[in-house]
Amino acid sequence: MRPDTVLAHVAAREQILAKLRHVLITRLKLRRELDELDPDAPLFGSGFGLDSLDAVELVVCMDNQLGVRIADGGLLRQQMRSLNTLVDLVLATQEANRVAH
Amino acid sequence: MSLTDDVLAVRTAVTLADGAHLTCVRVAGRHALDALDRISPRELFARPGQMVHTLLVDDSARPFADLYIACDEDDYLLLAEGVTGAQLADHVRRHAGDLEVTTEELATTHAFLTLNGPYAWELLAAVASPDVIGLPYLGFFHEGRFTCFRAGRTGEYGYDLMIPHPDVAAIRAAIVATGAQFDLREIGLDAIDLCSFENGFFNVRRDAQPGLTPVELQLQWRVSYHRTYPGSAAVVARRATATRRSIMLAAREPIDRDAAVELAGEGGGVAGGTPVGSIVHAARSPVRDEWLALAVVDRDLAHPGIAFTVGGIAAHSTSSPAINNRSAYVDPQRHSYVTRANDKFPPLVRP
Amino acid sequence: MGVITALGRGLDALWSRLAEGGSGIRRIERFDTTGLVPLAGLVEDRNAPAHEPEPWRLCVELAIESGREALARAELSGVPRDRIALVLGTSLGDMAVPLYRMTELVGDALAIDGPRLTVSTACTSSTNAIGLALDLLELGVADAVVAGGSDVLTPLVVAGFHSLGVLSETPCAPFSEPAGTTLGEGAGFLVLQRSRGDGDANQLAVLGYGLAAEAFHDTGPDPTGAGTARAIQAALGDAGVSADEIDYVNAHGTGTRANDPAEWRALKTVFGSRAQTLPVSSSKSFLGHAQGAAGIVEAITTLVAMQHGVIPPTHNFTVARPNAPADPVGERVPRERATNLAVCANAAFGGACCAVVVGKPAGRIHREPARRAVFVAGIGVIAGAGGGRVPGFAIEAIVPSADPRGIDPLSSFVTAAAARALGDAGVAVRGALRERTGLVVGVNHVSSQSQTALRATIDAHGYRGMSASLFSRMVLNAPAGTCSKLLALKGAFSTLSAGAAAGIVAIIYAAELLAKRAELDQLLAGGGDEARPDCETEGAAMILLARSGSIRLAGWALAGPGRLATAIARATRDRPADLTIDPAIDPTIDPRGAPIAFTSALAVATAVDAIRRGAARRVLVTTAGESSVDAALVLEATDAT
Repeated sequence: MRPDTVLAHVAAREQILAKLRHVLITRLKLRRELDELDPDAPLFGSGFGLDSLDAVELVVCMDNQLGVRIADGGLLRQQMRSLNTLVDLVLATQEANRVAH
Repeated sequence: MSLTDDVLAVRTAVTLADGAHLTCVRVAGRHALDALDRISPRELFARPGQMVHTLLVDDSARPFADLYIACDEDDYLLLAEGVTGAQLADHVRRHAGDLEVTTEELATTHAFLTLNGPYAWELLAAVASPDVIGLPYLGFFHEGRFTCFRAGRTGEYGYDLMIPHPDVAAIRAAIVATGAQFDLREIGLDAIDLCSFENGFFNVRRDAQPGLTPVELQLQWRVSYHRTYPGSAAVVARRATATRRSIMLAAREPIDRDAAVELAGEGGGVAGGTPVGSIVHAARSPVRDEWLALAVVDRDLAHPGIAFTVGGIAAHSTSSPAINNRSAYVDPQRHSYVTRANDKFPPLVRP
Repeated sequence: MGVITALGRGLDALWSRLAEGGSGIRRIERFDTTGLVPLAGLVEDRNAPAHEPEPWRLCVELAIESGREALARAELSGVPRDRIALVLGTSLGDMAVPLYRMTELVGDALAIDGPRLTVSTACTSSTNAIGLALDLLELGVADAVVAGGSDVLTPLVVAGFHSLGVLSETPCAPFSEPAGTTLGEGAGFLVLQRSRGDGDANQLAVLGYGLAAEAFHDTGPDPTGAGTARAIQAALGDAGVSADEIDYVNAHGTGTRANDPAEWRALKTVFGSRAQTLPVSSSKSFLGHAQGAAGIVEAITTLVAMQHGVIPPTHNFTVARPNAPADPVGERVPRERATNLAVCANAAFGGACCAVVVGKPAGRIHREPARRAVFVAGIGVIAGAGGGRVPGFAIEAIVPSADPRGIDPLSSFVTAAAARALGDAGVAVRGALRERTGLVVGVNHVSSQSQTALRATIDAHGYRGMSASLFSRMVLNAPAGTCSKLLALKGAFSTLSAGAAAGIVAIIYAAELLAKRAELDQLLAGGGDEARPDCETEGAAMILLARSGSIRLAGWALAGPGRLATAIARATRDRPADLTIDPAIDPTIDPRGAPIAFTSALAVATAVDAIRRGAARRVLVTTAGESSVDAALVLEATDAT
């Protein structure tokens, strides 16, 4: 990877991470600061301790704040394991949209 | 009998292992809550029957115990690994000062069995109590003579049973007998640790290396910056100064744990630059059929999707968990091991 | 009986459509459903867009119409208007007017001058309302009770259930595929009177009811079904009926993946091996889920079917889902089968579970439960200085195990006051005592903070982008649900609304339950409020009622609005008290004179305090609850003669 490619890649991920962390704090009411929300920490059960109602909330927020519609209940779970898997999902959606246009 | 088969059994069926790596201490007395309030890095938001998952750190913020604090009516049960029962009890009492608190090392009178797998709940419901299906993650209950903690460390349904010594043989026999219809496989700690590693979970017996704190290890969720506890000052200080963070790497070839991590150059070769990180642990993942490595790298590079080299071997960073746990799809209200062939589950490896 | 459902207006319409296998599930025309599932069991001639703007008016209209039918059929000509009570169960998420105001309007229209009470425990509201009617009859404050409920579908509820992912794309198929529910609406009332023992063998009756809390999750059911099982067992106990005598169960049967298997587990717990042959059906398959009115329209469906010697079917049943009832009556038309005793069960957000036993008692007279003395064991109060806001309140400071994430102020006040009452009594609720500890909360509004935040998410993102967790707070029993979950209270569980009397009415209901019910050892009861733009006063007061203590509840009574003297006479039995407290006229309790829920509970706490301090030995607490109900309660030191 070219160094500028790495930089752009990291910047893109950081930007999405910031949005997701904001959602966790404002909509899911996590009483944490942005830097405490580690990108690989488990979202549900352990980790941030989110539950099924939070999962619903997160799906809604992914749609209206990040433009990612998670429709399929099966795919949902593997994409909602950690902040990093959510970032993967957003990037994949953006890429799919770019190709489609 | 292979480690790969053991791991695949954890991922698709039910497994049974001895839990000699676990210990448990009962903390009781009028000031039990106050005593734990002094040592817990995390708020004790646990109601009876619930656990809080945290860890204990030393003065340099290095974790030395993986700890579940379970609220057992007026008492607390500390389920831990990485320390002995005696060390844990001593830690509680040392910081309790003149508080009225007693500690009891239950590992001297009890043994542990641990059940893991997407259908572990079903076997346990058949052997012990149908209420197992309603037990949420980080819940526990007493069933007859034993205590069942749901604190899985493999990414699958996982239950640790704490059983008084005289009853262990009978309960184990009951599990094995009923387990036949679940293709129960008896496995060792090595398989559990490998599953835990595939899921990117912290292993205090392996990953608690000097210089690594909850900040580098992405374990900040297990601590609170609003509390004072032994080691808290060092954790707070590291939060402000940490330059590295953990990330999981995947590679087609074996990774040398002692090799330096570098950014890959254009075309995938070694860029020839300075090392950007080091390896904490590496192992072959049976589920992914490739090598996984837990690395700590410069924070600016600790993101998935970046090409690295480790001692000349090409590797790329990946999100955790690097696999797809079937337990995330298996619903005790819908599924059953017997009828699993009719159920469509996603593949174990994330695309 | 009187009823309006998606199958039509009136009892005759319900029966004729039920008999022919009709379904009331239709396309929603009343409001825009873009992006949402457009199916529901709506009242057919109220489905036009013209009926959308003010759902509460429609809710009142349906209640009045079905109430009139019920009264006309009951022919209560000999009963004075002030001896008729009204209990209305509703969970309308409209919030344009307080729910108790709707009950008052219905009471006015039906010329009911006795107590008018509102039960709001989400999807068990009207089931609980039927049960509360039995208590009012036994308490002797009415000779007849018009009990039931009304609810209409709103865009908010459709969007809320949509975001929870529990709506079926096709008319719901309980216990079968596909999983998911279909919403609905309706209204219905029973007119209940005490058995005179001379009824014919076909006289229908409500024999008993039971309440329980799951203390598990805000919206998801406990997969073990333990709460529903306890509610059914309590109902059987109240009715004096054994599980073996039940020959039909009208299940909650929403059709969701979470509800149906949990409910079947509950039925297996209660009925044992008999569950394998017991007909269990869900009327939601043709009526839709009528929310707060579900209990009453399903009970009436059960009774109408029983009158005609049939069992209501479960429509749309094709293949059984795992953990489905063994006999789901999966047919299109009712099954010819005579039944005598049925259980109707419902479960709700906030962990509320309620079941009623209905049928033909055939000479069996609802037995007179032994009444036991009720005492005050502890009091807990959260209140702002000078009757204002409670500043900087942290629930974890009072309940250390409570994670404050997502807990609104109203829920935290109620929970903290309840925890203080337990602490005041020195009681630790543990082990089996959890299932023997009940909770009754009086509130008039949902948390204004949650309501405002929900509105903000809708304004910003539309109904599709609204917050599901905030939606789950829009039921009046959300504070009680949070309290029951955080303190692990699993016994009888209810939420009432009655304006200024809400707190004291909750305490009186709890006292009535504790006096009669062997399955309970203690109940927490009181009221709570959160500041709103039109009222700054906030806080909560909770009383722990128990079977022993140094202060006894010597008497309690309710009466229709403007009839406080009647309530006082009944509660005091004409023996004077040496202190009378009324929050409306006592500036130490409510300096602003605001008619809010918790002040009347605070008045009871003040009375307890006065007796403890030795300032009085026998205290009368009174509250006039606007146009809902007047209440009187007498407390006395147990060494008083």
